[in-house]
Amino acid sequence: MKSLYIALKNSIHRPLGPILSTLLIGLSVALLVFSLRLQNKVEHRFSENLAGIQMILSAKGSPLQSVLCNLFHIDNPTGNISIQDAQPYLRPNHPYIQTAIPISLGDNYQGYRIVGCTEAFFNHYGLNLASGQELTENNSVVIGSTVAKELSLKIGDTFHSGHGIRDIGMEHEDGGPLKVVGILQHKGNITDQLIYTLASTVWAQHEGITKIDHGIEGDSLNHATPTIRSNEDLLTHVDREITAVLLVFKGHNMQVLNFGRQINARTTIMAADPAIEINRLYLWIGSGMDITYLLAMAIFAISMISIFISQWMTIKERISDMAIIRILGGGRSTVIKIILLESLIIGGLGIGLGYLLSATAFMTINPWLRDQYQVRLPIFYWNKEEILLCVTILCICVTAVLIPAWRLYRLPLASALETK
Amino acid sequence: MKLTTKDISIQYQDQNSIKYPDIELNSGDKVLLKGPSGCGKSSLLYALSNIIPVHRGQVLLDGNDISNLSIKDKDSFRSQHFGLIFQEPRFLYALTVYENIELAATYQSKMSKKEIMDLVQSLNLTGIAHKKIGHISTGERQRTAIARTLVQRPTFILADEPTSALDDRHCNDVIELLIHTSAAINAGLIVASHDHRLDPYFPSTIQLI
Repeated sequence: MKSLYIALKNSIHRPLGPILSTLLIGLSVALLVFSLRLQNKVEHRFSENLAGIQMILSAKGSPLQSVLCNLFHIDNPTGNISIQDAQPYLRPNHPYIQTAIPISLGDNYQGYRIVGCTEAFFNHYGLNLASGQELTENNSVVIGSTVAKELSLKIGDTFHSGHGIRDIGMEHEDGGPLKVVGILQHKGNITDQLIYTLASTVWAQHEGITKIDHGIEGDSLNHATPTIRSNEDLLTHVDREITAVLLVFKGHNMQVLNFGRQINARTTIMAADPAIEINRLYLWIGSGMDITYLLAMAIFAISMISIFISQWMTIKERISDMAIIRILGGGRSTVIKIILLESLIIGGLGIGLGYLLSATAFMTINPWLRDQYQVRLPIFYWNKEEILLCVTILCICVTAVLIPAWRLYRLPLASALETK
Repeated sequence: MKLTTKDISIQYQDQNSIKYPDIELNSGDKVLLKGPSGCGKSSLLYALSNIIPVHRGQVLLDGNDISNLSIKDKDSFRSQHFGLIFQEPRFLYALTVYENIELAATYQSKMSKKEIMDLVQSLNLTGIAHKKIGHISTGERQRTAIARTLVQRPTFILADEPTSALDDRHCNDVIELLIHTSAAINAGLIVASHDHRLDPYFPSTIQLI
C-alpha cells in the first residue's frame, strides 16, 4: 500500500479541512491566473499593436481615447478631422514624418471594425494576402484572418456594414453591400481582427444619401464615388474627412518632441503620444491588478493557515498513525511523507480547481471582451509564470505542514504509544 | 531464535527504576508475564522490542545486543522480529479492516495478497474486511490486530493486556487465537496481563512484583 493511497484515504476520511483548504486555494489560484493572463494579454496587446506608431492625429478630445480607438481599436473615435487640416502631415517629403497612415473608422460588421485606409496602412503593418486580391475598387474589403475564421467569410461573400464601431444592428443598406476580395495572412495582432476597405468606401457607406440624389442604386454606387487608394489620392479630396492619421517619425530629436505640442497649441486637431498614454493606462491597470493580487494572496494565506490548523488539530490521530506505521516497519519518514502528500494533494486539487474556475470565467467573459475590446483571454494556456506560480503554491503547501511534520518526526515511539 | 535478557532495569522519568528477572525465550515458546497494574509489565515488553532503552543490562537476540541500533534500524529490526498487540489496538482509522491488515505486508512483504485473504478468512474477518475500523466491535478489533501481527510473521509476538477489555467468551476466543496462530508460525508468545482468566493457557509464567 503506497503512501499516496494512505494520504488520499486520510483526506477523504477527514474531508472538511481538505475541502475548505482546496476551495480557498482554488479561489486564490483562479484570481491569480485571471489577473496574470489579463495583465499579460493587455501588455502583449499594447506592445504588439503599438507597431512603431509614434503619434496619432485626430479630433480634439481625450488623447487616451484617441490612442485606444485608432491604434488598439478599443474605444470610440474622438470625432473626425478634415483632410484640409490633415494635409500638411499627409504630404510626402515632410521634414519629420517618415510615414503617415490615414484611417477612417465608424462602421463594423458583426462587431469587427471596418477600417477605411490607403495602401500606407498595408505597407506599414506588413499585411500580406493569404488569398484573393488587393483593394482596387470601392465596396470591396480585405479581411483579417480572425474575421475570416470567426465569421466564416470567404472570397466573394458580401455583407452590409453596420453603423458604429459596435454591432448595434443598424446596417448601411443605402451604401450597397461590401464584397470580400481578399483574406490576409495571420499576423497574431489586432490586424487579424479588422476589416479593411478603401477610405472612399467608408465615405460612400456614410453618404448613401448621395446616391439617391444621383439616382444611383445598389452595387453601382462604387462607380459614383472616387476611388482612393493612396495618400496622394486622399489629398485631392480636401473637403472630405478621415478619423485619424497615424505617424512614424524619421528620428527622435527636439523638433519631433515639440511637434505634438505645436499641433495641440496651434491647430484644430489633437496630437496624442501612444507611449505616454499607454504608460498612463498601465498605471491605472496596475493599481487594479495590485488589489487583485493582494486579495488573491490574502485568500491563499488563509488557505495555508487552514491547512496548518487542520494538520495541527489532527496531530493526536497522526501520532497514533505514526506509532502503527513505525511498529509495522514503515519508519518515521513514511509518516512525514504521508503528511506532505496530503498537503500536496490539497495543493494540487486547489490548483486544478483554480484553473477550472478561471477557464469558466474566461469562457463566460470572452464574448463580452471580444465585443467590447477585441480581446480574448486564452483558456488553455501555459507559460513559465504560471508554472512558477503552481510550483510556488505546492512548495508553500509543503511548508505549511513542516512544523506538525517535524513535531511528529521528533516524537519518540514510546511517547507516541502513550498518546491515547 | 532465542530472546534473552541479562540484568535489565528500566528507569522512568521520575528516576524510579524497575529491575526485571532474566528471561530466556525461544521462538515457539509461550509465557505469561503476570503482575499488578504499574509493576512494569508493559515497560518490559517495550524494552524487549526496543521501543524504550534499558537503563542497565542487555537484551539479546541470538546473543546479539539489539539496543545500540539507530532509530531507523531499530524500527526495521522491531518490525521484522516483534509483533505487538495492545490492550486498545491501534489502527489507521481512514483504512478498512483489510487495508489495516495489509498495511503490515506493505513494509514487510512477507505475505502475498492471497495469503492475506486466506488469513482474513481463517480469522472469520471476511464479513467485516471492507468495514472501517470505527464500525467494528472491540473483539473484532482485537482479532484484526492479531491478523495484522500475523502478516508480519514476527519471531516473537508481544501482547499487552490483550483480553482485559473483553468478556469471557471473547477473552477465550482471543487468547486461543493468539496461542494457536503463534504456534502456527512458530513465533514465541509473551502475554503481559493481570487477567487471571489466562492462567490455564500458560504453563510458564513470570511473576513481576
